[in-house]
Amino acid sequence: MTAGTKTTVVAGIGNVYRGDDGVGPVVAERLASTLPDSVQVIAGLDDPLQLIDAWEHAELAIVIDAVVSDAAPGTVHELEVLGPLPAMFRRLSTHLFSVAQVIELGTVLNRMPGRVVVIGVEAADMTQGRLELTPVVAAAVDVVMARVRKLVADRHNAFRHEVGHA
Amino acid sequence: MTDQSVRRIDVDYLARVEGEGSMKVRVVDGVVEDVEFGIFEPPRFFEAFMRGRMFTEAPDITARICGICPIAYQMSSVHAMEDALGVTVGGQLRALRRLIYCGEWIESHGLHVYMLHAPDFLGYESAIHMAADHRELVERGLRLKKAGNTIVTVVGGREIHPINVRVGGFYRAPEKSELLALVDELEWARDAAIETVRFVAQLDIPKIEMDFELVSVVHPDEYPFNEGRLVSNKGLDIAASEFNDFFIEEHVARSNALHSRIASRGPYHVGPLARYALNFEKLHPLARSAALEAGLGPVCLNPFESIIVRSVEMVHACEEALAIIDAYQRPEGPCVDVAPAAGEGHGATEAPRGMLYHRYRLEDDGRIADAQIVPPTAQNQLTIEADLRAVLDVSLDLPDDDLTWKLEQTIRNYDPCISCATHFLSLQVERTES
Repeated sequence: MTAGTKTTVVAGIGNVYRGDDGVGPVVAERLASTLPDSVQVIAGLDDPLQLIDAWEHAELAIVIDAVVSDAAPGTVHELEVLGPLPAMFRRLSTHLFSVAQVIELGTVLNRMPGRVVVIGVEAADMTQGRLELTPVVAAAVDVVMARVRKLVADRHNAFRHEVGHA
Repeated sequence: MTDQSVRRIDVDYLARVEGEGSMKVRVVDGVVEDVEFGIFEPPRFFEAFMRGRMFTEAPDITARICGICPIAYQMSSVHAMEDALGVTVGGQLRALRRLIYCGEWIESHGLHVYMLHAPDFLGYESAIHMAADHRELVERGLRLKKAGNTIVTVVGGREIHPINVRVGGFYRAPEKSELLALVDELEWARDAAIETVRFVAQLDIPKIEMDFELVSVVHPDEYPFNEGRLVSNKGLDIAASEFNDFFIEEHVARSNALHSRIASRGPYHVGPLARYALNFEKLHPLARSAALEAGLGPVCLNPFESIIVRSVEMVHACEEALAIIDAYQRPEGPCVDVAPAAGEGHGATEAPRGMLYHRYRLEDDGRIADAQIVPPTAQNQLTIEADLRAVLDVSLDLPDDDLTWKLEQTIRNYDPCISCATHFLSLQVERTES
């Protein structure tokens, strides 16, 4: 690891001009100033393929995205990536490569971080031009932020633990 | 097959296309009866959204239309605003605009050639499937895309929805040293682009030739990015301000994106093939010789060969970027002053997918009274349908799966950025025999 390399990458996928599709960027922007310097925060990525490059030095990657499944709007899904993602992450919005496809591609190319956690928030309204989250999705933002902080802190503590025993 | 039997192929969505849309083909007694390429989107949302906003907001708002080509939207909007306000941007600021556009072309073409279109020619469902057998191709495509992204990041402030572009220039002009840091990777990208031309030229490319009316921005001295007249191979030669006098946009029931045609003539084609044919002599010599080596003449009318032309344009964009960086001297200020005023302005620039026209009318205080955005994919809709008919005419004997594949490939020739105008493309082929 070179100096200045970010070993944790938190990326919010989506477009804030499409209602709840912007939940990822909203979470990432609010978290940006509160996370340790070792964390790279990317807000507003609407081409998930760029995750491949962003993950180049990452040991922990956290992705926040809007999802559509049969769950109630505002439901927070969390997946530890161990293989292909379920359908809810495959087709969404107008993303060119979905998060699921990027994970498949990263796996084939052997370019995956050590650990990838995907947090999906069930969307209610992704109308073009809607600049706010719906209330039920906005209410989930704090839940997701707390979860990301916990994942980052656990990684941070584990790293300090490893270094302490080196 | 019984009388009046119908064979249908349903595909949930067309992969490897930016956005969503639909296509329906109806074949009766072996004759193509109807071809519809439909686009579904909340129509013209951004045009309405911009009314009442300040002219300074247009570049950032329009960049949100597309995550793949935000620079094109920024460039057409700033040129239209500057036209409305009587401002000219020259010198190194103009060069920086060309540089950031080079970045977008390299990124967009690299993505399309390797990740979206090459799988069609090599028989893979997707780049993911292709990566298992041709890892080096996918890695090369990703690295080319990244080289383009890096230019956009350095000049534009960030790769997605760059924030450094403004009416009058930039918020901050990069240091020469920041641009020089790009040179090594751009030299790699130029060589990789030349390799790309050689690679795509040996693919098994279907042979069709279309009688396109090709329309592109044409500049007297440069391969077109930002400025020039709108010229066609069939006699059109107008200023961008005359767009609405010669081009007609009309609503068609099956599509939420307006269909474009040239008044009294019909459909036309924008994109790499048009730029190439109308500006061949202005390509960088390396790009031109790569094209000739690949077997292309100065005019290419086979839409399936667009993959070669995109690769040639990548060579040009890399060379252009290197030349701009070499000559760059940081300007004294990052922008020229722009004062709000009433007026109307037009801008036509060359997005990776073709000419992108913007028009704005401004109030006295610089608020936007009216906006018109004509994206390249919307302009190409009728031409895409004509291509589909031409391909169907010579491919009807194919089984449904193969026919579907070929029709999807035909649409992907245009690298359609349907999200500027659509949702997923669902494909339906209906064959009726009486």
